[in-house]
Amino acid sequence: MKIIAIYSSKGGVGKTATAVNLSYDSALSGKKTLLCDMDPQGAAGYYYRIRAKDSFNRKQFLKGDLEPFIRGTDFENLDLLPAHFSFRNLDIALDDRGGSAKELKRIFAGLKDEYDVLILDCPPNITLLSENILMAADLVVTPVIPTTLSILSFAQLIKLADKLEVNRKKLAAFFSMVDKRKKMHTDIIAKFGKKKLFLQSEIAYLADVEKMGVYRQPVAVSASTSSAATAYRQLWQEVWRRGILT
Amino acid sequence: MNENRLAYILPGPVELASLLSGLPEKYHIRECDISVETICYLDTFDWRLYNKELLCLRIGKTTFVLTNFAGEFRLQEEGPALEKPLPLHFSCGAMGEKLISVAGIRALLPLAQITRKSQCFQIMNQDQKIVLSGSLELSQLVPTHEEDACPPVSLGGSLRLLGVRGYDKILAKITKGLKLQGLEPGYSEERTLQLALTELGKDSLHYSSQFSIILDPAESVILAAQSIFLQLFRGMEQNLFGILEDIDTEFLHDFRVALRRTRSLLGSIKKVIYPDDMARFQQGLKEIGTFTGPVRDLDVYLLARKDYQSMLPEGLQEGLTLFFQGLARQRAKELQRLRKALQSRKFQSFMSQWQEYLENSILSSSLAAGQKPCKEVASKAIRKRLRSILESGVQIGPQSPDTELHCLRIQAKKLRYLLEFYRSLFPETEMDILVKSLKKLQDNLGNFNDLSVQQKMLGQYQNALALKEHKNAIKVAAALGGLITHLHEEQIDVRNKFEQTFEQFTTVENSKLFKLLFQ
Repeated sequence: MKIIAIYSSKGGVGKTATAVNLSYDSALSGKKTLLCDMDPQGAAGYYYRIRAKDSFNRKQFLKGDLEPFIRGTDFENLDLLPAHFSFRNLDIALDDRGGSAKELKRIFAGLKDEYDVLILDCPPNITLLSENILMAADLVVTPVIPTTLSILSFAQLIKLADKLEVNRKKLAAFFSMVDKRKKMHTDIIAKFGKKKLFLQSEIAYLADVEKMGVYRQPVAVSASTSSAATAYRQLWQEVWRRGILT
Repeated sequence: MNENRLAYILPGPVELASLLSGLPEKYHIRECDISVETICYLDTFDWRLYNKELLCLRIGKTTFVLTNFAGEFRLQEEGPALEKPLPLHFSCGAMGEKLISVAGIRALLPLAQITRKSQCFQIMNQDQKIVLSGSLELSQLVPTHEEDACPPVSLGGSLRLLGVRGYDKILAKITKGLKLQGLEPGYSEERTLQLALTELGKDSLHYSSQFSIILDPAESVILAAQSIFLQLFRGMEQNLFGILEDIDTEFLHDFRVALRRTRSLLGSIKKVIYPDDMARFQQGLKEIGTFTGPVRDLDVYLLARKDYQSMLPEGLQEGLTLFFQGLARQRAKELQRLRKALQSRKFQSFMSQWQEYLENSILSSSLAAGQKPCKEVASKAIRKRLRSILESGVQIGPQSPDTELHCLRIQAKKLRYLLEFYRSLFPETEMDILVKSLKKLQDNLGNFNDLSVQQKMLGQYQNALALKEHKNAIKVAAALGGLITHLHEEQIDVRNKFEQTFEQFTTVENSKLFKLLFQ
């Protein structure tokens, strides 16, 4: 099972849209896929119209007792583990358990026989949870809006990876919400786009992606022929190729 | 069965709304379009898929589904647009591999054709999320080419439910409601096939290439022989259409095995059959063996194509390809001759006479020895055959000519047939041990013979080439030379293993078993 985390310490960069669309494309390519919504806002679950079971909370999650709380999406090969509001304190809880950076790895170990791909939709912060994500994932994919702040937050992640002695090959970024009419976007893409850590696929700032909240479906379902659907499919192919090398 | 996948037998046409009448208000049903598809069930002539609890369905013209009876294993792929495809016609995917491993070189023949009207539906919750899906189906048997005159026959209805992970409560609620209506899960695709076969008057498992017959130890040998002959006769008859249509190579193979068994049994009861009948039928059966031989011989080479390819280096492959193209052309010609012979008045008249004799005359015209109990005759025949194998076998040493091994092979084959004919008269476990042991010896002798025959045939082909001034003759001759060298080395290897194999056959344990069973 390949664990692919969609992570950024910065909010509003398109993490959930990426996790939702990539998990759909992964399942579509025949891989048994689980999307794990770790963001207490539960947006990934919202897009797939899935609510968490009443009995699910942070406690079960930390025990690694995930199987009874996984729910099937409307799509073949794709399941979802919804988030719970109590996930907002996941950091504190991890700290209470000894502060190890390897807790998430243990929690997900029980899923490895059932799924080919586990995609994590991570909350935006840089805490002990981020360290756990870096340790557990085979690939950490970071959406980066071509702005200075977004680049800085990716640099922060690289620093954290170095501190934890995590191989930089585990990190990959791509430009998200790109608006080619903005000079700053084109300048930043020109400056950083060729770096090894950056994937070639870009996701433009598109109305179809925004409308996911209305249709509550991946773009490949609500707008199957759209450029957004094509862009995510290409991004998935690139992510998967990177992921299998790690 | 997967607990999320349930299938119910429905007594007849039922409205979906009435089936799901207990659905709580917060859910609603979304009905999809009604679809009608034609489904053809396929299996090999000897039911290889069915024997492994597998079903192959062709939906429409080229969509194939391979599933097990329980329904938890399911593959769906696009396949060849052929009425009776061979496993090798499928692409190298999971289905092709599975079909090759189960059906081998046998073609998939249509067993029955149905149309299925499906009404798919989904149960949605208040978030418009699918929490259960299913289909309401109605199947009808429709005529294929053979049964043109039959009107469509209803094979009943079914309801399939597919639960969604994490939404078990709704599935439980629906199944409870169905139970209150007297419905229980129990539908399977195999059930529809069975209903269709019953309607068509076909039995599942009506043919097996394995010989099996239950005899009464006290019944007379002529009565036992009659039963065996009749079963073999039916085996030959059942395979005729497949040879004529050239569906796959195993029809001819099975036909010839039944023929050889018939000849072997006839030869083993010479004292029972009236000499004139014996001579007449032995001659007739021999002739059939002769005219069915060439196509089978060519089939053996054509089936071994991959093995041959692996024996030669790249440089000789072109010659080998040309050689096989030549064989394929030759087979086409020989098949024409074979068809002609099988459709000839002479063959048909012989088969009628043989059938008439088996059904009406064999009992009344047999000699006095035919009244002996079959177990006594069987024991004696097996003892005699075994003794001659042991006597011949021990005399074979490293310097013995090949012909001695060929003679021993024929004797071993005759013993094998005897053991198969009379298997039911002796304890099963002990017979299994002996047959297994004999099979090992036969494999060694069979391999030796095959390698010998192949070298001879290839050599003859090579010589014939030398006489022709064909532009590709040199390439083909080079490939054949390579093959002959390889086969010769292999034959030496097999020959060296003979003594050891024979010794294993004549162990003290086996001797004791033979004495115990056939004394």
